[in-house]
Amino acid sequence: MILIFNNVMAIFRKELQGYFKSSLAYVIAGVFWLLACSLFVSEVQLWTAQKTAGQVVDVPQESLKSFLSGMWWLVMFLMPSLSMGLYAEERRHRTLELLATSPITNWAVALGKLLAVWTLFVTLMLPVGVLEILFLSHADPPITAGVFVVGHLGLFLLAAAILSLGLFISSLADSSILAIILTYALILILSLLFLLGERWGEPWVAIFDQLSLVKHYVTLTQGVLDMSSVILFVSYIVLGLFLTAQSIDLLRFQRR
Amino acid sequence: MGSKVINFLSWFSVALMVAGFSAGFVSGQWFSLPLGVMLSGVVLLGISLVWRWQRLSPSNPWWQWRSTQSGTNALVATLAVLVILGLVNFIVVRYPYRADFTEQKTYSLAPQTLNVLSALPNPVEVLVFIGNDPSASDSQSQIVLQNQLLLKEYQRQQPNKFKFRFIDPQAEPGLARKHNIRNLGDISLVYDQRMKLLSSGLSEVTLTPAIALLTNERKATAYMIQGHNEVPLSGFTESLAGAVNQLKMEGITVEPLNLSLQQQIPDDADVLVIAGPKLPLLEAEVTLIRDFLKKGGNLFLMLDPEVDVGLKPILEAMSAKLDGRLIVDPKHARLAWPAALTYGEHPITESFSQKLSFFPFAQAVDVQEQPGQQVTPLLQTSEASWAETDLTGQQIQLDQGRDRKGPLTIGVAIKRSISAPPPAPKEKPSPPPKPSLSPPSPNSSPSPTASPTGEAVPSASPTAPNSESVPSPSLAPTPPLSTESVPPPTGESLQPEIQGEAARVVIIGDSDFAKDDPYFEQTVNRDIFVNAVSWLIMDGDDPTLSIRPKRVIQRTLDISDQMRMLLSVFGIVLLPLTALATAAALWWQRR
Repeated sequence: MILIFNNVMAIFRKELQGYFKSSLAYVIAGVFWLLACSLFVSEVQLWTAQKTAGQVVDVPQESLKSFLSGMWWLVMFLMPSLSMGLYAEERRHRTLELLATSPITNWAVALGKLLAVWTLFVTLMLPVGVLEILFLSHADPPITAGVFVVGHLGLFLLAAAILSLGLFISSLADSSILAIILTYALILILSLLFLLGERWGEPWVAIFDQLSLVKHYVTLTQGVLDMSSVILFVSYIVLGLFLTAQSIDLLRFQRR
Repeated sequence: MGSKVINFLSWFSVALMVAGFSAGFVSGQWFSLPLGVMLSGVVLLGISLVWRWQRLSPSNPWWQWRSTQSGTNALVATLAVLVILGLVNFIVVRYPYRADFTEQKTYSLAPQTLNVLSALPNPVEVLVFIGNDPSASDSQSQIVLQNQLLLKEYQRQQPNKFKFRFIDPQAEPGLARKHNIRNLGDISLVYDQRMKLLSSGLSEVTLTPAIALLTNERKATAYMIQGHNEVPLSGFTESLAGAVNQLKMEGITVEPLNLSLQQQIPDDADVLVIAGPKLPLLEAEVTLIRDFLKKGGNLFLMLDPEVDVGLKPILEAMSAKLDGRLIVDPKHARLAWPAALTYGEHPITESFSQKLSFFPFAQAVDVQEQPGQQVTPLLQTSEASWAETDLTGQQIQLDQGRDRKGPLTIGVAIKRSISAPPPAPKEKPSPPPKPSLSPPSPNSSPSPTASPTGEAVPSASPTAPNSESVPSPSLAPTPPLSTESVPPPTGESLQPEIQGEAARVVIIGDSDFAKDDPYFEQTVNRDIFVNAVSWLIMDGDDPTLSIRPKRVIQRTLDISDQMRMLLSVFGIVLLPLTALATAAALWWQRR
């Protein structure tokens, strides 16, 4: 058990160090910060303007809510670019076989990689979170932390789910570019599933609503901690990890 | 070769999905073509993914794979995991648990609603008539989204007996006609043969009482007093036919009642409606109505100005006074048709705030709070309106001193506890302590909190020297709820709830507003009438009436401009620049 944990940590550390040395990670960080911070600042400005125009609004809460729903797009478009190289790069460097046949279980490798890339996302969110808190602490009357915490939990879960699915696709694709495109497609499908449900009527509505990433993310950003939402995100994370491990497992018998 | 085909397949499937998505997005309709294109893209993508996966294992016939066993294992394991995850998800959907972290529990239903829903005897269907038009304004799609959220929450509580549908009235005009839909956004509740129209917008405050009322098996009857030139109940124009029809659809029986012929008010009368009499009522009739009121009957008065119909004794019993002068509103094209600009926080006028209503030839109504009587102003005219004293003058204008300046209250809802004085020593188990009541001090700033809670007036209070003789008339210095004192936004907390049995009265200083008039098509005029009757016939202690709307907390971000600037620069300029500079440095180093 401890051995597996150590293995996971080793992979995790190696991957994280890789990010600190890669300029691509910094470019992504720069773009992410630029977009996320301007999104937040502009939402605050927008709602403050509404308030000054005489509307009855809860400026901090509304800003937070719109910011988080805007983050949906940012996460959806930036996460695949983080996950695309996770296995595709190994393949390109011809280290994938090494990894697949190494004594470390495929599970541990996949988990370590996912943890590392998710940690990167959390790190990216940290300065943005600080900015949010600095803004929101000026709320008058003060706001409670509940909605903030649940909303950001939703954001982190969403990111982890997308990264996990992206991890799987990266393990299949030969090149990073293909991996990113396929991940976009998959995420798009998962996001728009509910439209299909609306067309097809009853049993499908419930099924596709449950599978849809958007609906659950929206629920969480509104400050409602719905167990089914959390379970769904965790399901996608587990599924992504499992499929990755399976696909790497099959790789061992690859004969070209 | 194979990998090329796979690559082509992947790209092609993505292109198909994008094409289908953009076609659907642009046309705004998710009919078969865009969906079909998208679906075929999905299927192709699936095939390419599976193929890709398979290619990772030997490329020759699968039965020769060294890994056939391993592949089968993988397949079985994958299926097992999918089934397990599916089951787990099924269970959480089936047995939901959710915690609402919003301060006002914005996304949770009130306990009263949960009670109503769990007690539903038969299925209720809610039809929301709103266009599914993609070009619709942002605010409208926002409304649709909010309605959906709310209705879903209702449905989650009672999945078998609560149904809802969104209907485009343009696409199904027949259905819209059947449900008497007038405006986009109207909502129809269907239960058995009954229908109820809600045009006030959807919220828990309106929906739950509507469901409670509609599913109530008790037959409610409204009697309309006749014989004094009241507004007719039927007829093509200038009648209450439309409003009466709507009441009937809701399962409320509407009967005319001529008191001078029948000499008594029927026992099954839930509400008496006096709609704009032009001739005075006989004294015997007034006495009958007064006794009816005393016994806890509900009354709906629609009284026009400049006519004295002899209802003074009844009005006086409620400390109500009719102004008698005609209200004019110079802002309106028809001078004597004031619009209601402010609506009270009350089940009758809930969520009317953005809607229009007109009251042709109306007068102001003043009702004072008194012990055991809770008064809510329902309708208020604009600041610019006034009550004109002299209509014969050359020019209709506001004469300071003589005319009464707006805003004026033209409609009030009154809730009165029945067991008001004379002292009924009904000993309550725990009378609320009200030290401020004795001795009554007329000079202390009168606040509504001083008025006692409902029936508890004559009951014992620990600090009162003589509990049985706390005389209610001495409590007079409650503030007159005149038009000048617009209730504060948090008024509900200040006004004591009248507990237990209560008689309810609605007084509106106008009788023309509920008539069938094409001019009122886009207004909520008729809804005010129907809502008022609905409110009056409800059980006085119906808990659904006490659902409070979830108000938006008015919060600001009290942040100085410098601070805002500093933070913005930090986030938008400094952070990204640092990251990009590091990236550039790394790249340079690598070269």
